[in-house]
Amino acid sequence: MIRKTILAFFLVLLVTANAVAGEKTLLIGLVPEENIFRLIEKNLPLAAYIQKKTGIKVQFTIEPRYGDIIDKFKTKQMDGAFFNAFTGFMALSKLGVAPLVRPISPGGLVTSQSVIFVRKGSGIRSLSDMKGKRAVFVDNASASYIYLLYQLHHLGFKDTGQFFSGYYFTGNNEETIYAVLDGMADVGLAKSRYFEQLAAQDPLISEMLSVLARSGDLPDIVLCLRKDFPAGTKALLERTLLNMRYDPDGIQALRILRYSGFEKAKASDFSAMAKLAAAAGINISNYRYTR
Amino acid sequence: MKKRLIYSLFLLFTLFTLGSMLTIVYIYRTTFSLRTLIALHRVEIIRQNLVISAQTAQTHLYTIGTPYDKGFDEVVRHVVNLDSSVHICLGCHHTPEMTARLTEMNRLAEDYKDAFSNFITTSGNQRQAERFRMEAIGIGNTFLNKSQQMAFIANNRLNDETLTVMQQISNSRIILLVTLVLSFCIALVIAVTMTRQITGPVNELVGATRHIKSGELGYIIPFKGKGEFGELIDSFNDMSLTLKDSNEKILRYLHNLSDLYSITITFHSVSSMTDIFKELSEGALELTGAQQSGILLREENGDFFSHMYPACGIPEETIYSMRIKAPVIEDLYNSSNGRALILNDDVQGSPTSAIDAQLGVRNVMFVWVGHKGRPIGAMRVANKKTGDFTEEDARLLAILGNNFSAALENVRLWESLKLQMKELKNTQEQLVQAAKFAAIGELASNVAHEINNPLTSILGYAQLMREDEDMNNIRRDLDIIEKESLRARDIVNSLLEFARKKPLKMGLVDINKVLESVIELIGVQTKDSRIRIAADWGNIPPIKGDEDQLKQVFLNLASNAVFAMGKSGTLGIKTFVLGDFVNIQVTDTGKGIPEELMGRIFEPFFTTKNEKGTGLGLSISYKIVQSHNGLFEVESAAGMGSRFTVKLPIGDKTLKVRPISISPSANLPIES
Ligand SMILES: Nc1ncnc2c1ncn2[C@@H]1O[C@H](COP(=O)(O)OP(=O)(O)O)[C@@H](O)[C@H]1O
Ligand SMILES: [Mg+2]
Repeated sequence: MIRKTILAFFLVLLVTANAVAGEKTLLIGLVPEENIFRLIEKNLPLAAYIQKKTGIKVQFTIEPRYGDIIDKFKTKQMDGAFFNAFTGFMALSKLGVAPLVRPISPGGLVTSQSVIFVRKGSGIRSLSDMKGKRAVFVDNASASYIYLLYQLHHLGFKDTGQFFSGYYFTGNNEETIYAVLDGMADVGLAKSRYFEQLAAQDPLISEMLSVLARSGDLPDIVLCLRKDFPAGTKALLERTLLNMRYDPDGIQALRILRYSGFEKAKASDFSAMAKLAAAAGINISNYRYTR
Repeated sequence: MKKRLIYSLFLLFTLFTLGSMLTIVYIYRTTFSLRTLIALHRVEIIRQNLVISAQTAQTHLYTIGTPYDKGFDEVVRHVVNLDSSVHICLGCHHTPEMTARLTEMNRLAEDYKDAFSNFITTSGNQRQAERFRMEAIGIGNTFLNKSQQMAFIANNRLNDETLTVMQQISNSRIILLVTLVLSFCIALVIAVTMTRQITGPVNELVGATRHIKSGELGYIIPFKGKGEFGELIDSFNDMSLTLKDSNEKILRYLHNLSDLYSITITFHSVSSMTDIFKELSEGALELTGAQQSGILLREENGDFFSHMYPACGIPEETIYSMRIKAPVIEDLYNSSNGRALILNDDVQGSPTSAIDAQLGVRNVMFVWVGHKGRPIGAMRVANKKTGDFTEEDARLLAILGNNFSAALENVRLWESLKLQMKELKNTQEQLVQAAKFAAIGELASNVAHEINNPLTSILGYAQLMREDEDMNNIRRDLDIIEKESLRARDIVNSLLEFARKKPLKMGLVDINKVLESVIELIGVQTKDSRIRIAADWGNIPPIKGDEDQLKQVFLNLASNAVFAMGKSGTLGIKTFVLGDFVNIQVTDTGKGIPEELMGRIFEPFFTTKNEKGTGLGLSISYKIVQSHNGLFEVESAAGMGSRFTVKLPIGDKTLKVRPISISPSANLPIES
């Protein structure tokens, strides 16, 4: 009995020690919505801020494909990830991650939509006009692709390959937009946030491209933590991120990310995504989310 | 000298400061260059990091079949590093050319990131992906080339900078060396010159002090110094001369003083007038260096002053014919207030001018010997061998004169002392005799009826015999008569014995025996009273002394004791040895001596007994004990009794403490 107690005590000690040690460095996954190097660079000030405020070191890891974050979350022993709407939705059901915070844009937006856009000279005026055209997508685990599937589903098509004469993935919202602009494809799908950002920078985009369809509001990006993440550290992290927008140093890091702050996220934030996936006729359990 | 020293030090200081400042400037510049060099090296490290990152990334681009594999995170890290390295470089200050190059690098890095990222993430379009890959490879190679070029430039810069730094370091080293060597040389020159300028005179001074130390007073430094040393040498020479003068003066005085001392010391040891005068005259000759000297004294009748004792350097027949009228000397003495009369060139004013001419006197000096404001003598010296008589001579003679008058006084006192001693001795002897008579008188009154008693019985028996016819009775009466007669004779004999004037005869005295005879005499006196005599004989050695005198002492003590007790009491007589003394204690239980009288009882003629006492007993006793080198101790308390202790030394012990010790005492033996 006594031996068992001592053993238990040492086990607790070991676990605690591990937990404390584990808290030292957080491995956070990123979804490559944009140029992977710039994405990491943009996030480095955030990591520095968290470390400065909490003493916790944050490291980022990125995979070339959206869906990889689901497959590698456990093998890479990630503590959490900034998921996009669809990978987040999948992670919620497949990994049981817990939503922590999500960013607010300067306009106050916490959501984004998926947009279907075409080159103006392509002769595409309706969604059905897209048939037989060349298309370019970000990733088959991006929300915009699910939106495409939803629209195709509506049009009565199941296979993207059958519908378009050709298509490919850039793995990057901006690149997708430029691919359409450059004539690499006639149709493109991307996240509205990127589309609007680029349009604001480059007048050619509004001049040459027109938006054909737009999804409803979907969660933009959500930081979720693994389900067994220590509660104390989680609370500390949450508090730090939520208060970031009140701290000059925090504001500095946020500005680089083009965020104005973070707000609390919850599982129900993904319900719109769940609805869209369901409406697209996707069975999450067998959906091929990697390419 | 001081100025020169200050200037030299100032020069040295300035030079040193200048050198130090130059060195500091050089060191500062070198440090600055070194800092640049370090910065350049740091940049090179950054660049090398960048190259490594770029090469790693390139390797990936070349080798990986699939755009992503296990080492993907690593590749990402390298590309990010590459970018941040460029950014770090851009963040620093550079030449416009360098900035342009770096901007170009930055642009390349951005393009590289685009192509690389696109290559990685693109799928479903192999051609496009390959295009991105080739683009990235191309950019990466350009990037590496550029960075190589920059490395070349940087290396040149590094070389230049290093050379500059080396040059600066060697420059500052040279300056430091030159400063040090120059300062050292100048300091050396200053030190040598200073030392020469200082040690020269100092050595002279040291040498001179050695001369003076070795007794060569008046030594003059021949060296002519400048400035402070000149002054120093001058004042040293002055000092040396002054020292010589004072030393000579002191020696002269010392000589005179020792003469004076040796002369005067003899005065006090001689007791004959002739000797004193002889010494005095010779001393005067010696002190003044005169050829004639003599002392003229006031004659008996006071009219003339003349030589009464031998003089020096004057023919025998002239000595006693030299006489001066007393008023002449008195006039001279009073008009000069006792100051000496010195006649060096003109001896006309001399009171002895008549004989002076006859004696061929060139110069003469009279020093007056005064006593109580009157001249009692004149010391005359004449014909000083070397030059004139001086005040100094007068002063020396005056000292001699003072000593002479003191010596004269001494002789006079000694003579009168001798006379007085003789008188005193006579008086003392008379006193002792008187005391004896007094004691006898005292005894006689007491003893008279003692003699009367045997005489009465003798008379009675003689009458009885006349009528008695029985021969047996007559014979028995005759026996009694004989016995009584013998007793009377003994008493009378002992009185006579005591009263007889005898010379002091020292011998070994058995004190106990003496005391027994005293008790016998006293016993007669106390027969009818209730006075008890308690004797306690100690084991004491014989004492050297006069038996009769000692007996007189103890008899007096005992009779004083008996008188003090009146009708009853105890007379204690005790002998014992304490320390080196035989102690004789005479104790009584009488009325005691009041404290205020204690100090007076040894005074001659002090008595409290009116016509019954003489007051001589204790004073005589004291004298006797003193002449035996003994001590007297008195302890007494009024109404309680007295204890007189005589302490006589055993052997030849001499007196060390005062002979009487008097103390009122409370612990006396009291018999009620
Ligand atoms: N034993 C004694 N007790 C009291 N008084 C004493 C004693 N011996 C001496 N004196 C005092 O000292 C005085 C002097 O003594 P002394 O010289 O012998 O002379 P005198 O006996 O003739 O008086 C005495 O008169 C007496 O007053
Ligand atoms: Mg007497």
